[in-house]
Amino acid sequence: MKWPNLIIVLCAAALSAEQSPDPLATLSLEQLLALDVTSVGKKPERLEHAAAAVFVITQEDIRRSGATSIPEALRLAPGLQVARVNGRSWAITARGFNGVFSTKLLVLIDGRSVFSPLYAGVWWDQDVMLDDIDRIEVIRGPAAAIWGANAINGVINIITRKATDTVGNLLTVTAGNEERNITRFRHGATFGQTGAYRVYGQYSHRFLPSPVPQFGDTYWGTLQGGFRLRFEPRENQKLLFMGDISQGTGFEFEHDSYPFFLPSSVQRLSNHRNSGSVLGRWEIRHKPGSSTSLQGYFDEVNRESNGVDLDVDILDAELQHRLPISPRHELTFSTGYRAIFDRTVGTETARFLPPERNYGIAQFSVVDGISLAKDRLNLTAGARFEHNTFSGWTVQPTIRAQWTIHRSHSAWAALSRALRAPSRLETGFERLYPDSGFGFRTSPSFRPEELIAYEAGYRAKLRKNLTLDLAVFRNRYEHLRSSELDSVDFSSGSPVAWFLLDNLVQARARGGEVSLAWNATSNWRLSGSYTGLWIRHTLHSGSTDVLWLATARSSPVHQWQTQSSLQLARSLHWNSNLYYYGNSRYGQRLHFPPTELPTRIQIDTRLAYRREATEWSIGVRNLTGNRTGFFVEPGPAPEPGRRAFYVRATWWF
Amino acid sequence: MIPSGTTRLSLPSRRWAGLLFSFAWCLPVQALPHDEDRVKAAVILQLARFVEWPPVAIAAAPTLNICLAGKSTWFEALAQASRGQTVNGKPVQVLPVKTHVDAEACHVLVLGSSLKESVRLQFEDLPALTVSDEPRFASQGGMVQIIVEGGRVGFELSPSAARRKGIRFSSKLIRLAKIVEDSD
Repeated sequence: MKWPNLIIVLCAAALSAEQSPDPLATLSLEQLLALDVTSVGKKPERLEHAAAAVFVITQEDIRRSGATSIPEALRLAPGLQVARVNGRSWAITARGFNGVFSTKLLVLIDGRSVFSPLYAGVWWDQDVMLDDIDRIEVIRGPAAAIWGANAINGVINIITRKATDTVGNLLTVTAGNEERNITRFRHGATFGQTGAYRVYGQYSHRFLPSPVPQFGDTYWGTLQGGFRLRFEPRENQKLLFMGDISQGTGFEFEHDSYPFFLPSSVQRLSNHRNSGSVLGRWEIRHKPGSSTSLQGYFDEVNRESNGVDLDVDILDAELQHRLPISPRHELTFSTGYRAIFDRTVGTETARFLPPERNYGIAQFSVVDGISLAKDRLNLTAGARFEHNTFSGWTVQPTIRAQWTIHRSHSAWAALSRALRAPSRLETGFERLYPDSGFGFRTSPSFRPEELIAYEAGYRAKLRKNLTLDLAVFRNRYEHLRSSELDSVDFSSGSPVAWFLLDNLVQARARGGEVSLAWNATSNWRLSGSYTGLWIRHTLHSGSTDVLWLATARSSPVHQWQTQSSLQLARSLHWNSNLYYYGNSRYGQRLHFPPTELPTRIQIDTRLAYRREATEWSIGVRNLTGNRTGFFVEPGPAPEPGRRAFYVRATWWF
Repeated sequence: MIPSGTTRLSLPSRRWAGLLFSFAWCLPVQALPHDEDRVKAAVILQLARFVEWPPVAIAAAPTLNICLAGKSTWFEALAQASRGQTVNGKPVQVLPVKTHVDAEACHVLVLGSSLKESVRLQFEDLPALTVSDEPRFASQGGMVQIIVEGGRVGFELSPSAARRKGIRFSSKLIRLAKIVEDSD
């Protein structure tokens, strides 16, 4: 038989085989699982197996916890230090150095950085539609080789759900004594073969206690809307568009003094915020494991607070390419540019210099991942090369290894260098506290803060229903921000001591996080974690810094949390969370600054009844009503405490 | 194209391998689902043989009903693969479903994407084996999640989610699966 004929005969045989029952149907389950398949999907990266300290908060976790804002939801992650300052301000960090502007934690919402280049920190007053969050990935420790500067103590990735997962309508209404009203609505639908979209709107109206009790509540109200749209123009391509617009208004109280331990007057601030952003992403899969994605976004934020007006526009573009060299070896390249334009209007006592400035960050990064010993040993090495206007070229490398010891035991270790880029405030700002005779100035020579981190971790499935996750670290910080006495100015009558921001503080931090999750029964899940953190600061000789005192006390040394999730009946669910924040070692030893920082316990509990597509819930946050707290840079900010009640109804239709 | 697995089993000789590549020429004649989809479909059918439903749900049913909800690339492959199959002596019937009212008689409920959220929540109350290949399905209340890892199809099971509906997995399934305990 000649070859072409043979092919025709074999083709016919192959096709007739298609008509009869699938030949695969004759294989056993073991045989099926051993088949090599040609996958069209992206290589699924299981974050839980990464060579880093990672925790994932799911949509279900958020709903069960009764959280009404992102910061509340973040309390669920082990190893994060979360403190509320007032109605719109939060101090959140991982592994220490907490503050209203925690300079060492990078936060992204759907791939868009919300870390302020003006202040170096995150304004937590921006909302995300909580019901549309798919998951929050919390990475503790440096991840700058992938995420760039400022991912120094950790990264928080807030990822919203795919539009194909949010088809239908949702309405949720919350009412309570603190959160008077939060109403959220979403509509989602599909179009064509592959397209889906959603639009949402939300309104919130919050009265939260002030850190200065005699001044009563602070207020923050927001109105926000947005959309997500995705479709696949071709089988191997995905297009994604999203946009959000929001407006916030409120008032709070601020100590008009510096340093924080001096007697101070309090001023009322009225705050306004307008923001908007649009993002587009195009993902192309070339062949299994190989893909390219191109993303661009524009983000605009305007803030106004007692005469200080800040306007920041950001344009960002990034190209990423994954290139498999072999099934066990993969390279990922990324390059991008971010342009930042700010316009500020200051007052006589607080102003940016110059008031308007344009600056940029250019980056290129490469990450090489390789699997050895039958996928049991995974090595990753990568580096990010970044250029920014304030500090020039920088390199942030990392090397990581993950070893699967046994099917249910794995260990990892990592060595990384990460930087915290100078912000606009640290390179051109002037602030005067005329009443207390202090002033702050900055100089353009401010350097990036540097971290060298040694990390290791261990994950194990101790029993069928018991898992353990352990991470330990040793961090060496150099060139931390300090304030140095520069000059004393007598020209305006009363003397003013001017301080200059410099980089004369070093610190050593060590600690770890351990968490356990136990499915006691099929209806009862218990989890708990412990975080220990010890930080030691060292000042360069000649430094007159006092800022370190605030940062040293900003994070608890011991932190415990437990969560219980119990299905009482088919439709009835009871959730309780307990958080314990232990005292700071420095607070005990120094008795300075002279403010009590008692140990703090918070208990949240929630009962929910869900029948088909309606859920009713009732909850109490901070059951004990403790009013205690943390020190957060730059001022005394005992976390306001009050028992908060709420009821909530959710309808899916 | 004949799936690579079968060819490997039936033809040990390397000489024939080159010839088999010529099967690629047959492709334009009939567009077939991806290999991955067909293997996933076959896995579901095999897996159902090692699942124990509460007697009240299965005893009186003349057929084993596999219901498909939402959209997914492998639904077509599953419908094809189920033709003429039996599971535990019952002929397999594949039904597309839209709401929980249609789905009351389902034994296996395969969930795709683009499913209305309210419908998905109502499905959760049904005593059916829920299956999906959507990410994190088994850790968020689903029972069986089909996964592809290292170029092979596998599955994750959540025995606790199944137990709440009176569904049990045989020890063989537990052995072959990755066990996930959901966050319930």
